[in-house]
Amino acid sequence: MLEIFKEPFIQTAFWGGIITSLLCAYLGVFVILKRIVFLGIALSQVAALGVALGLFIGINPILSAFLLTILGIVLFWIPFTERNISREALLGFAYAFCSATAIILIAKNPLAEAQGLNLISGNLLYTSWLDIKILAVASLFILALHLTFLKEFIFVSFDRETAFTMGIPANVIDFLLYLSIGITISLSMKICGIVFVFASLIIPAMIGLTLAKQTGMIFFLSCLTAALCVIIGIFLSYIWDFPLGPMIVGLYSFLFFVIAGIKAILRRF
Amino acid sequence: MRKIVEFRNAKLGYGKLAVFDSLNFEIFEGDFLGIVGPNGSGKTTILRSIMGLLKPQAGQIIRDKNLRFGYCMQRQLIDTLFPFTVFEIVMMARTKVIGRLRMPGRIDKLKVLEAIEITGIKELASEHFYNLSGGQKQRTIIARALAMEPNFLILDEPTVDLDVKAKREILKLIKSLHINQKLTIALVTHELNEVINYAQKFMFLNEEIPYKIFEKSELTAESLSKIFKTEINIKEIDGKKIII
Repeated sequence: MLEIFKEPFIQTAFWGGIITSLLCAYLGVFVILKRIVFLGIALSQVAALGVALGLFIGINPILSAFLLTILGIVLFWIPFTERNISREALLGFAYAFCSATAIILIAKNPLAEAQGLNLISGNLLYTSWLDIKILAVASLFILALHLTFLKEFIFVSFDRETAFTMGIPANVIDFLLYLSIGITISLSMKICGIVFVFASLIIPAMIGLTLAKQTGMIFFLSCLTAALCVIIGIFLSYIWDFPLGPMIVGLYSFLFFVIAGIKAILRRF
Repeated sequence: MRKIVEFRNAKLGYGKLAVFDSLNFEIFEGDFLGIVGPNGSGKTTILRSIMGLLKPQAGQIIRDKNLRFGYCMQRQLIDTLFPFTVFEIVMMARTKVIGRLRMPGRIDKLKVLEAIEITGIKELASEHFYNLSGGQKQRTIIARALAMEPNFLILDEPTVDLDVKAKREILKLIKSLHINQKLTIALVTHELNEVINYAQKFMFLNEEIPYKIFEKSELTAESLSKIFKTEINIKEIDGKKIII
C-alpha cells in the first residue's frame, strides 16, 4: 500500500488533500456551531467564480479566487440592515449569481472550459508543489491566528453579545474567523474543487459532533476523520481508478452514516 | 450614595429609528432598579446604553470610571448546539483576564468555582449546559457574570419562561447578590409583580408616562393606576405586595 505514496503525483495529492482537509475540518466545527453552513457554500461559490474569472482574464486563478473571497467576506461581514430581505436570502443570491457567472465565464473560455469540471470536482492529482507551498504558508498564518484568538473565537461564536459586553471586539473576532474560512476556501478551491472543500468543511465536523461531547475532542475527531479519509481515499482511488475528490467525499459520507447509524441503534437499546 | 450612571437628555435608537427621544435618569451605587415594560418597549435598548454598548444619538450618558458590568443576557438566546459544560461557560468570563496564548490560571479557576458556588450550582459544574433546566441555565449565566467580578449586575429578563419555584429562587438569588455581594442591580422584566418585592426603584417603559425612576414608596395603587391608565390594586400578604 505504501508503494503508491512514492509516486510524485500521489505525494502532492497527499499533502494538498491533508492540508486542505485538516484546515476545513477544524474550521468546519465553527461553521456548524455558528450555524453558518450557508455562508460556507456561498463562499465556496465565490471562490469558484474567482478561479473562473482568473482563467478568463488571464491572471493567477488562486490570486483572483483569494481576492474575490476576501471581498465576499467583507460584504457578508458588514451588518445587514435591509429589513425585508434576510441575510440567508442574500447568501442564496450570492450563491446563484456566482454559480451562473462562473459557468458563463468557463463556457466562453476554451482554456477554462477544459478545466470546468475540475472547478466542481477538483483534481488533487494535478496539485503542484507551488500550490502546496502557498497552502502551507496560509495554514501557518491561520494556525497562528487561532492559537492567539482561540478563546475569543469560541466565546464570540457561542455568545456574541455577552463577549461584546466583556470588552471583546466581537466584530473583529468574527471578521478574523470569516477571514480564516475565506482564505482556506479560496486557496484550496483550484486544487480540490467545490465539492471536496465544502464537504471537508461540513462532514468531518458533523462526525466530530456526533462522536464527542467535549469541545477539544470534537475538533480532534473532526481533523482525525478528515485525515484518515484522505489517506484511505488516495489508496482506494488509486486501485479502483476513481476520481480522488469525490472518493474522499464518499468516504466522509460513508463514515458519517455508519457512526450516526451505530449511535442511533445504541440509543434504542 | 454615589451617582454611577446618569442619562442627560439621551436620545437612543438604531440608525434612523429613535427608540427614546430624551431620557433623563440617574442610577446610584447599591441601587436595585427594575425596568418594567412590554415587549418592544426598549428595555434592552436601555440596558445596552447603560453598559455603553449603544451610544446616544444625542445628549449624554455619564458613567463612573470604576464600573465593571456583569451582563446576564436572555437565556433563550444562548445556542444549545455548543457542547459546553457549566464550568467552561463560566470560565468564558475570564477570557480577557487570562490574556492571549495563556491557559486559565489557579486564580481564574478559583474565581469560577466561587461564582458557581455562590449561584448554587456547584454539583452541576461538569454538566453540559444543554442538559440543564431553565433555572439552572439562568444560574449558570449569572455565575458567568459574577466570574467577571462585577460591581454592577445587569439582567435581561432572567425569569422569563421559568416555573413559579425557579422564578422565585432566581429572584431570591439576585436579591442576595444585591445584599451580600453589594452589587448594583438593573433587572429588566415585563411583569411588575415579579420585581415589586425585590427592586427598590422602578422605571416603567410606557409611552404615556415620562421616563423617570420611581422609588418603591411612590408605588401606590393610585400612582400605578395613573401610570398604566387602568385601575390597579395592591394587596399585601405576609408583607409581600401583589399587583392586581
